Amino acid sequence: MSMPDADADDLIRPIRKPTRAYFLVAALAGIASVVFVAAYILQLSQGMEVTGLSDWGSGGGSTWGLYIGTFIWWVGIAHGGIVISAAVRLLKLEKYEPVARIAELLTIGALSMAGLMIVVHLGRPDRVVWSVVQAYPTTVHTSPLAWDLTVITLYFVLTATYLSLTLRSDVYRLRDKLPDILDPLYSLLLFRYDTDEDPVVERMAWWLALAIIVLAPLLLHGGVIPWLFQLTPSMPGWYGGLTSPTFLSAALSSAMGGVIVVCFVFRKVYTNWDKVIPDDVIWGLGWWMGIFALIFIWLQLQRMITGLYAPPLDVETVMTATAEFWLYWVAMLLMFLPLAYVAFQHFGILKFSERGMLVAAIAVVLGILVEKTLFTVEGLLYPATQLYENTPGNYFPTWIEMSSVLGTTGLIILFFLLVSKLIPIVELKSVEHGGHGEEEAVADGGVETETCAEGAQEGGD
Amino acid sequence: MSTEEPDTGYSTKHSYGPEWEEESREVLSEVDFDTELGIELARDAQRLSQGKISEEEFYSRHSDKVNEEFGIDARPTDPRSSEPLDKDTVEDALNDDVVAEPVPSKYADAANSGDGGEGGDGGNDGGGDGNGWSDDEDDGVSRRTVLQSVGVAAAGIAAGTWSQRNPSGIWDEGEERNIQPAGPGTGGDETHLGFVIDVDACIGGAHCAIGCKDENQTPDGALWNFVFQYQEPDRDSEEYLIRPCMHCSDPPCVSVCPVRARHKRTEDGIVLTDYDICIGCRYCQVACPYGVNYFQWGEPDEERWRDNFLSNHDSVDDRLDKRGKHVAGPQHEKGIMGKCTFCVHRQDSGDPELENTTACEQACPVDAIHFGDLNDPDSKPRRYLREVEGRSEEAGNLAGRDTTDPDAEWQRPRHVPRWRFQEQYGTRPNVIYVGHQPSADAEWVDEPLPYDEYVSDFGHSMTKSREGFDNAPSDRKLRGED
Repeated sequence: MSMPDADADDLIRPIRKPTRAYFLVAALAGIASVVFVAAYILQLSQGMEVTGLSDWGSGGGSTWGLYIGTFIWWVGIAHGGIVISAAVRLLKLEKYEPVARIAELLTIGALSMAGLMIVVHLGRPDRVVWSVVQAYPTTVHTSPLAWDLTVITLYFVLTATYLSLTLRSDVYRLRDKLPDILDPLYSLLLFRYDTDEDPVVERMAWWLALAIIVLAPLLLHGGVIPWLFQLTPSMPGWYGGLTSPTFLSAALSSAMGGVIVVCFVFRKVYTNWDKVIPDDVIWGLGWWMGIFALIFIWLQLQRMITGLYAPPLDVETVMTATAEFWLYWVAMLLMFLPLAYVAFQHFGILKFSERGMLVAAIAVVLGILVEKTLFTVEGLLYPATQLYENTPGNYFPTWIEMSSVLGTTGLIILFFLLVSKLIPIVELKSVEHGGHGEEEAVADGGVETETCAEGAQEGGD
Repeated sequence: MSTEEPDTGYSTKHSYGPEWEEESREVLSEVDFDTELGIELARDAQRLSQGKISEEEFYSRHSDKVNEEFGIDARPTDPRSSEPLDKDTVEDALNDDVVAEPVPSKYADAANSGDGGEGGDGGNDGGGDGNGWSDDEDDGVSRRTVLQSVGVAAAGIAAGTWSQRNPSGIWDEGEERNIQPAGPGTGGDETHLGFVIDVDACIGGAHCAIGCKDENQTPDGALWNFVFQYQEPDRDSEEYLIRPCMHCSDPPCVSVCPVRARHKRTEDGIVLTDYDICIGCRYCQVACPYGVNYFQWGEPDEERWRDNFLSNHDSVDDRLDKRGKHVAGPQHEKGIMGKCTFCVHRQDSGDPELENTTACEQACPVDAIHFGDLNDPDSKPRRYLREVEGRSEEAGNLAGRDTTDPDAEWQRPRHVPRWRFQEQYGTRPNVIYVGHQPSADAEWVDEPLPYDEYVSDFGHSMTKSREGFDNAPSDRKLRGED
């Protein structure tokens, strides 16, 4: 290989070099975000009739739609990211260390977008804080939505703590290479930092990782998020214990997909980042994405076979409608083809291809968005009660709702563009593990890293 | 509906023929009391249940003999009491099972749970064991007393027949679990408003829906009350179902509300939405099995609703209930949820003419809707339930059928079906339907009762067109086309 191994200079390259492409991407993401904000302002002023939503029942529509589908989607992506990161710490998966922080950042961003989708979905967002707080001591006992807010908040706090703790030693050791103009930020991050705290932080991070890995599958996407739906006995499309595992497999597969997309972009844009995040990592992420897609498809099969073989009438109605809707099969294909692609790679029938993996990842991410939105809407269009069987009506999202998908994606991109200019988005120790200077780096990281970095600096550009 | 009508078991158990008499004599001969009197009492009870003699007649017959034999005439027999009962009390006992669903304290809204601690949990776990009287605490004791007074066989036969006289055969099975021991907060003796709706009387004119709209000035598309039309495969006639909010005793909408805007008023069990707190998440609508919630999607026509509202209300303050909460009238605020309020402004008006009435009840031209306190034996719904039994007897007579043959097929103890809608979700609704219950095979007619053509007197359309409506992919094949 002509390129040397990745080093600290590679890590801070994104911080140093705003390119033309950077501004172009920022502009596009900015436009998407602005459209979304404009659409939201329109919705605030005219009311939610600008959406395709309506009352289920005699309104003939679906009262939850793309907003909620997008919410589930973002929470899911937020999820898996942090599961990767927590797994890296708990199980000492050094191979995946380079993506740990990217995954954490994706979690912070995606979780914020999920929260934003809830606000966008509300009829009276202005009241949300006070109304929720004043009732919280009561509602937390009964309302799955209150549980939801609780766990998402907890999850956010845990992730943010985790990120900021592990960031301190990296910022300290790379301080000399970081731009002076951001000194106030770094000073804040390094508030009362002492190198002695590193082992303590390491332990804290381990415990936080444990908390997150327990919280995420058991309470978040394997818990309160699906519970919003599966605890509703009058909506046969939602009701049942299979909903949670389906959500979890959806979350994990789409999160893997999300991390792959982010990694792909950074590898393409920045020199030597294919060393910072080696092919092996992408291949491994793709493999896990395939595994979770397989579980997802298998659970869908269970749902379908149970819902179509000899179901109660109300279940039959919703499952038949789902099975007869072409969009459902599009979603299934978007999950199945990446699974097949990854499997063929694994069996050596197809060669590993970075681009191929990107396409597969995007397919999975989109597949989950479609399926989760469909799940939400079909559930409401086919309630157990027969009363409204012939009530006319349907649901199709308007451009205002659709702009929320693009807008939140744009905001996530802006978030990554911004963060990558502020902090190293890959942990320093991952490049240290990569080759030279490993032992010394542990003893006296700052100095050693700098020495190593100097050696490689010329070749880097 | 997905639940089948429970088998009342009447048709096969009792033939009341010679076999029965022989069996009864055998039983009666084992006790010290007058066998002939026992048989006579039982026969009379049957005649009563078949509508051939009146209750008064039944009470007065054999009174002397009973007194002579037992030293007391304790009929009509309420096994829970050894004291002779007056007629009203007996009727109460018969209708015991009509009590409103209790208000569990967990749903009590904050404003009310404070006063007097009346919101104690209903303790609704005292479910029945198949015996119609089993829920009473002193069951054992009082029954023994009764048995001593009246004689085991006669009491057994009479009580058995009496329970058939009780028109709620379906009720006994379906409702027994809901019979509450009396006590604060259990629903037994507290006001609990509710409807008794006779769907067989309904002619499908949707006057109730329009009356509701005019009174409450609900937004376009909101149908706080409406009438659905369906056909049963084995029936020629059109059937109707009136659907207000069920004001459940275990309302899922209240459980899921993340801000406690949706709550159950403790003093009368009305399920209300606090328009000042609601954040418009629409989870109540999602959780409700009945589809009775309506969101304010657009900007309300402030001028129109205000003027119209004031045309039949004293002031817009009518939208505040007696607790000062903004729960009454239309939810004419963008982005919040609304639904039937049991015309709470009427209940809080202090006007005896308006209290215990609703707009839909008043608008109904055929008197199908009866609103009042389900726990009060003298309330309109309770009175109607008693009346409707009589009506079915009368119908038999009017039809010119043979009323002398007790074995005639049509004369088997009759009951008017009583049911609550979609009970399987455990919501314990407080709307009691009388009449035909939609079966699982019910076909909700091709066009729903064309409510899109209805316009209220004030010009509110019943439905509302939406964006994204017509360009939707047709994935609803199952509904209607098949």
